[in-house]
Amino acid sequence: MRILLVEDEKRMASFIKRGLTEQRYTVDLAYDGEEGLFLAETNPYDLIILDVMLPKADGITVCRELREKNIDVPILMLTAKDDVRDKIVGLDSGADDYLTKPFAFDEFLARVRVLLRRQRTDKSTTLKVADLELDQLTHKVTRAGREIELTATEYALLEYLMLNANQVVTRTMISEHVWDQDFDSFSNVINVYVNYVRKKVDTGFSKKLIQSVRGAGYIMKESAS
Amino acid sequence: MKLNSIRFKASILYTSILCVILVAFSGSLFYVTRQILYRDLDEILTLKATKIADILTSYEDLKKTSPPPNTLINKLFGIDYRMRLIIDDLWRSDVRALGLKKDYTLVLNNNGRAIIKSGNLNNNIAALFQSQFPFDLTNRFFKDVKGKHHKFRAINFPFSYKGKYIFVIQVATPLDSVIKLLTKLLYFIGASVFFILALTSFLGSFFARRILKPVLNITNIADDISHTDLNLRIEETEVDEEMKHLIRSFNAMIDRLEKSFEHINEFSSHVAHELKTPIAIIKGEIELCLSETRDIPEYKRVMIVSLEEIDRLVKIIKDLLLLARLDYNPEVFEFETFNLIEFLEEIFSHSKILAMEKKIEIGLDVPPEPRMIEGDKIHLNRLLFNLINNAIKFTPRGGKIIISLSVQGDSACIAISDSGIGIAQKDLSNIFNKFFRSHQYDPDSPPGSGLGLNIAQSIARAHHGTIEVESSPSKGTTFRVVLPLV
Repeated sequence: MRILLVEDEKRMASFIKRGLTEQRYTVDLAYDGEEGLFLAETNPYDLIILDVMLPKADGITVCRELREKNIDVPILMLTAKDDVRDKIVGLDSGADDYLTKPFAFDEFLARVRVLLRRQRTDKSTTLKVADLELDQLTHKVTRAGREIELTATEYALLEYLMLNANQVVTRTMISEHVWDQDFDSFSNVINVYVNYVRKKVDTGFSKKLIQSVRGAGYIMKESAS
Repeated sequence: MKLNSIRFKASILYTSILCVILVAFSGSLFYVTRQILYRDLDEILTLKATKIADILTSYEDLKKTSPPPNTLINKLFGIDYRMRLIIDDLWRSDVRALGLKKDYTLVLNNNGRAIIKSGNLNNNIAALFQSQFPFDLTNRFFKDVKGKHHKFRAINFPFSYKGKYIFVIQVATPLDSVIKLLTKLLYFIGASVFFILALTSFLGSFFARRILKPVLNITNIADDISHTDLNLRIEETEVDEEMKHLIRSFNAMIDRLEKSFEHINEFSSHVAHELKTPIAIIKGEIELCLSETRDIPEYKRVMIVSLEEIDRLVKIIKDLLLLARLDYNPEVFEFETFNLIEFLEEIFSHSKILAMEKKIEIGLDVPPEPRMIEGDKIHLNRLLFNLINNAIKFTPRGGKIIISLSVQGDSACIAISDSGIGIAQKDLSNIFNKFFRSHQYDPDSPPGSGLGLNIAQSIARAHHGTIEVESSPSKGTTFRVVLPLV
């Protein structure tokens, strides 16, 4: 899951990014409205966290412009302005949620999860494909009841594959949703990581869940090959 | 209607002025009418007395032409007596012809003995005449005589026959009809005055209410206005010029209030934002840190960040309080006259220490002769260090800062020029706004309060001075503080 954080206060941005990264999210940072708008227009984020008081272009403007360009990524507004009128302006500009600073970090994470699963039909925090289970809260992954240890990147990759189960996922999609903007999508890293995950998930089971699709990418499917 | 309302006062004032005018007018009307009526009456009385005098004259004339009464023949034949009877008849018929039925007539000789009196003159009236209307042989005059039931107007009319015999003719006529007329007039005037006053006070009150209606409107709208609906305005249609003026002033006052409320709102929202950001960082860092077991350097880092953010909070609060004091408490300034050159040399030596860390070179360029100004050393110190600290902050390592003084007429211009990153043209107009910060240059140092230049400007203003800024990006910035010399 790849998140764009637009926040001009560097220390604020720093701990939010750290907190999100610890939750296995991939985070891109923008320090002003223009940069945020540019990143949001050029990358397919799963969520945008937007401060309102920003240099160059404020959060309300950024939000409006994104919605005008039909970019319907969930947007969480984060601001010190807690006046009801400010909240209304924020939400009416196209934001999906509004959180005022200072906030409880756990609540913030919960709201992030809500916005991320909003597009899914299944609203539970546990993802399931066959006997493979992924708990988004504890980040525990089990297959047939046996726990699988994964690194942060491996977890993010598996989560993305499971969220798009039964669909072909291209390398570009993986690079856009699992890695941040500094990642070079032409490198071989995706193949390497997919192999790591495949090894940990499918080894020892007759049903292979992660399959390669020649010339396209990968697919996670319940049915055995 | 309240007793101290303008409406009440205005209608009372109108009514009382009108009352005085009406009373004076009807009083004089009454007096003049009465005078005219009495004069007419007096003329008639004079006329009557004259007529009687004429008759008396002709009677005396007749007496003269008749034979002398004391002659023996006359006495014997009784001519005189008959003569007298004839003359008396003549007299009576003549007087009767005058139509003096209602009048009381009395003719006295010079001894006061009644020669002739009219038939209606009974004893009561005669006594009245004697007590209130004594005869006078020399002067003609008029007098009011008061009876038990009636009033009379009487004339005393002395009259001499050929300068020898003197008679007094007294004629009195009842005043009943005149008094009746005057009483009616008085009643009429009284009723009219009462009616007019009642009508005027009612109409006055009515029109006062109409004239004051805009005031009531203004009051109602003023009552409705609170800090949440300062957008209300009074319409100035269909009102008098004075009211228009009042309404315009009132609306202008609300405009100003609305503006300053907006300003305060904006300011407090800024303050909230500024105070909340460090708190959000401390809270976030600590919560995140506590969510898992961390190693000691991480705990240390969180502590350091928190401490720095707390320092930032303290600085913001201190600066806000200082700004409020500078702007609204002029007594915080203690003015003294001192030499600006010495003062700048002192500042220069302190600045060198501050700039040492970033290896920034600081220069001082001041004229040798002393320049005296009147100012508060502590606050001017704060002003200049604010500018110098900014210069150091936004100047890269190895850069240069120059503090210089030039005299322009009767003011001193202190310039602080740096070779720093400069300020973008579009930011130049904003740098004196509260909480404005240009894009953070040094991410490692926590940002300032965003109030430094505001404080500097407030101090300059208290010294009747100004601060100007000139900058070109990536070349440097010059702040000029202009202060009046003594």
